[in-house]
Amino acid sequence: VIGGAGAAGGGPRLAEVTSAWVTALTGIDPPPEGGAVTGRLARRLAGLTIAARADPEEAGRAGAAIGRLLAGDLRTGPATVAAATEVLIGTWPAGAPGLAQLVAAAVAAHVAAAQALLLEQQESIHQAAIAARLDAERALRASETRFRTLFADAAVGIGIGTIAGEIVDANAALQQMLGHSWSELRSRHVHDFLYLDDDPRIAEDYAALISGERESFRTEKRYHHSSGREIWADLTVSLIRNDDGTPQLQLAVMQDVTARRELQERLRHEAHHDPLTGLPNRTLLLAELRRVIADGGAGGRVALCFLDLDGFKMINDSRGHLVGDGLLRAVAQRLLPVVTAASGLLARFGGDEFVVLLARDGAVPGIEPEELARDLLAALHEPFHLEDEQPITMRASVGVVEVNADLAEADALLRAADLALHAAKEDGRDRVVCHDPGRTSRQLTRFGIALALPNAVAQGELGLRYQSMVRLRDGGLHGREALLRWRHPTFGELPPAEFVRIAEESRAILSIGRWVLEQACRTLCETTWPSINVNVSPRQLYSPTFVPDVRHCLDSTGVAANRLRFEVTESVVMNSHDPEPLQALRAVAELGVTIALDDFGTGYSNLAALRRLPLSELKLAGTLLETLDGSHHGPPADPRIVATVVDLAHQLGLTVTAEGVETPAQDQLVRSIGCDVGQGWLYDLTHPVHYQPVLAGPGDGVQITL
Amino acid sequence: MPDMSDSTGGRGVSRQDSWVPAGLDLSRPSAARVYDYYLGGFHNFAVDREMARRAMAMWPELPLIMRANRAFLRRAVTTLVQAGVRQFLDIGSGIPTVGSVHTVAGEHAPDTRVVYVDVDPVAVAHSRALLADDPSTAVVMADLRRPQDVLQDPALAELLDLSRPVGVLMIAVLHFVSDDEQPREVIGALRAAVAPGSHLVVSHAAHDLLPAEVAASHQALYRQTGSPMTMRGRDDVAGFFEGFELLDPGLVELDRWRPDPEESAPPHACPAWAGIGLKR
Repeated sequence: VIGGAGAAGGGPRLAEVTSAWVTALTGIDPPPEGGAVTGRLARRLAGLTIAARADPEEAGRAGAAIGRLLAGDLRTGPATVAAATEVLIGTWPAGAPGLAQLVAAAVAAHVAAAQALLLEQQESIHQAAIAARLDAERALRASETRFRTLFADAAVGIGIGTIAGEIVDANAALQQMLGHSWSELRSRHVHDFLYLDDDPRIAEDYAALISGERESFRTEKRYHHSSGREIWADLTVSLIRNDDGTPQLQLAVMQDVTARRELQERLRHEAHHDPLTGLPNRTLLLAELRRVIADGGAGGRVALCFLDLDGFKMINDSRGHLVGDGLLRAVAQRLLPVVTAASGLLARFGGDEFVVLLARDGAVPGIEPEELARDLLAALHEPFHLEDEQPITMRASVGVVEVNADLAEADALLRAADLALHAAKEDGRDRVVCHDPGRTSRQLTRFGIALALPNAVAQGELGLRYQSMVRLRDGGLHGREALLRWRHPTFGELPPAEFVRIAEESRAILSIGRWVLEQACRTLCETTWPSINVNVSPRQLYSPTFVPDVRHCLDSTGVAANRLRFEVTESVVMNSHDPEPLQALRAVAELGVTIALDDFGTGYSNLAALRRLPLSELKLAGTLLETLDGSHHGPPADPRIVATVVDLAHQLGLTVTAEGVETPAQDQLVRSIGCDVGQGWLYDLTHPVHYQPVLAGPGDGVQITL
Repeated sequence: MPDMSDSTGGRGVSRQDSWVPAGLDLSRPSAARVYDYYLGGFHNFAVDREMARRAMAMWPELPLIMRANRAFLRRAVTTLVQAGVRQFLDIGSGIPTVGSVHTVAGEHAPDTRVVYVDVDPVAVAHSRALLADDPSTAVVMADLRRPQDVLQDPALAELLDLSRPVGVLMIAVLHFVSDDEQPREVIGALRAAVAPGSHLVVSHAAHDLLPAEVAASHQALYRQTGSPMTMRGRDDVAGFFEGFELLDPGLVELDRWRPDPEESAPPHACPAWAGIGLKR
């Protein structure tokens, strides 16, 4: 083709035409029609341009090829047409035929190719857009299906509402949580689920969300299930906005946390309440007291009433803990309405002690604490009728203290109320005593005792004195009873009556009891006394170390077990629910220790119960003697009945000892009713261990004054 | 300088086709279609042409630069095929009008396999339509800013053997990854995934080859499109080749990288850096 250029009769040669094409197409402005021209393209265009010179027919074919070539190189714009036309005309041999055909064919082919390209590419990009959109829609549907499934089957409740609060959608979990079907929910309003007594912060958060101030909030919120029960939900509410950012919908996601919440509530309640009575416990009352004091403004008053049941321990010991517990519950039920009516807080402080906290505003005086205390006592006056039990009469004592709240100090207040309570106890029971600062110094002895008691053993302040028991038949020594004394550094020597009750209220009785046992065994080891009687507290019999302690003392001293005699009171055996004390007594009886029942005739004097005990002795209470000889106030007891009891005891193989024999008349009396042994001032005072008293002979009472 | 990445600013991009692509918004220009327009194609809509005309009003040489990019792609692919590379990963492939990787490579080695990656759903749909019958190619919709999405696509695993060398092409695309989006970590992830003997091909818009005001105004325009552009200097671009060994002539101006004597040089210097690195 190139070679034929010359044959066409002149005109620029191939190199010049190629150069003309490069020049024309390079940097055509404006693009995109222009661009870098490859040498290959220019050479092909030039070849065709020269080939066109052959004849008009060839010119037409070459022109069409040039047009297609340019369009195929994406040179489709008008600038290319102009530039190409210039090259074709400019390089055409002057006067040669076919130029018109060449240009016409080139332009027509270029336009046709460009049009085809345009249509084809536009079509393909539209198809691509449609395909992409279809893909996107398919993905959207799949995504919606997934979300729909997620929504419908979610274990968490999901609800969608408008900004106005209309409920648009709610999944099955939400319907189940609230107990409303979808048809019920759709007619409800979000506001129906915002309750007046909700935490006010929820309403604030909700308002902020709806107004678009915040995107979401999370809280724990209460709902009313359609059945009426209360449920708790961990709730997250999120805002859904329009494209332009305006709030459009609200999305609520909630998880039922009722069970967890109830557990938390129960644990919190249990930590602050007494499981027996359901009343607030000491912890809660103290917290409330401190809060009242902290909040107490001028004019506010805070009062405490300490209430302690009189003789509850006796009920507990004699009728068993079940009855005791039932009684405490019944007492709580009696006291609670009285306290509630006075807007006070009733707590069980422990044991049989109840405390009322009464906070009074200066503006609204309310009930006087002392009056409330009397109401409390009045509430207990009716006997208690527990199931399957004899009616129980239960009285109480109340100590009251009231101070200005802004001056109060919790510990001092508690101490003062406790002092007042003990004053009430000692003034006689079923009483109310208001705190009297003057009492404090006198009463402190009691607290001093309670405080010093645990150390009394270690400090060597305890001592034993012995009182002889005399055989009435021949005046011989039956044995001696060990009697406990406390040489208090401040208060001097104290008899058991002053402190044993306090010791029994605490564990101090255990160490004291062990000490007494050791001392008695040592004394038995050092003397030739036939036996020593040791008083054993019920509390000791509950101690797992009691029997081993006894065995150890006997073994280590080598004392014969039958020289040791334990005195126990009737209450130990009256409690049929509790086998422990009886088991302990039987265990020591098996060791050879003998058992005496002390103070017979003051309690139940239940002879049938005696058979349950491994007894060898019965000790008639000194007070019984007083009722026999008329020296005691009240109706005298019939000596014949007592004689029958002694006779019965003898038939059971028991030795009968009369305690508290102080006069020759009493000596005669105890002999006449058949007692075997006598004990009392008439025969012997109490002595330290190394004092050997001369025993009085029968009938020769020795009057001794202390 | 447009790219073949996401022009619409969509960031949450389809991992699988199952999620709705964020980039499908035909009311906004697409970089892939704008690029096509620069190249003289008709695969574009009015909104794309409007965007292109605004860019060209500021920078009339853009179409020439695009053609120079296309020419570099041709030279690079030819070079790698001649070096024995038979697998290509073209990230930001756009709408392959002319001179696509598989056509260029196919001229020399018909057994070449190519995976095209783009984030633009229309570009992906177009490529799939075009290449539907070609089993040696695959098209993946993924965002290069999450290279694991690219690498873990099942289509890629099916077509490419990553235990053998791969030509990773990132032509005029990295300048759409801002420094915050950690382009070096992106490249590091790709480098770690490919076998020794693999190549990294990069061309990148250069602010240090342009008058400052042109660079600034051009970046400002792309900020308006929601497809911000980060032109970089030579040192920064060279940093992308960390762990690669640059082939001759190193990192150079786009049209100076092994120019084809058959091609006339563009009338203006191309303000872009280009280079090919080899992973040893």
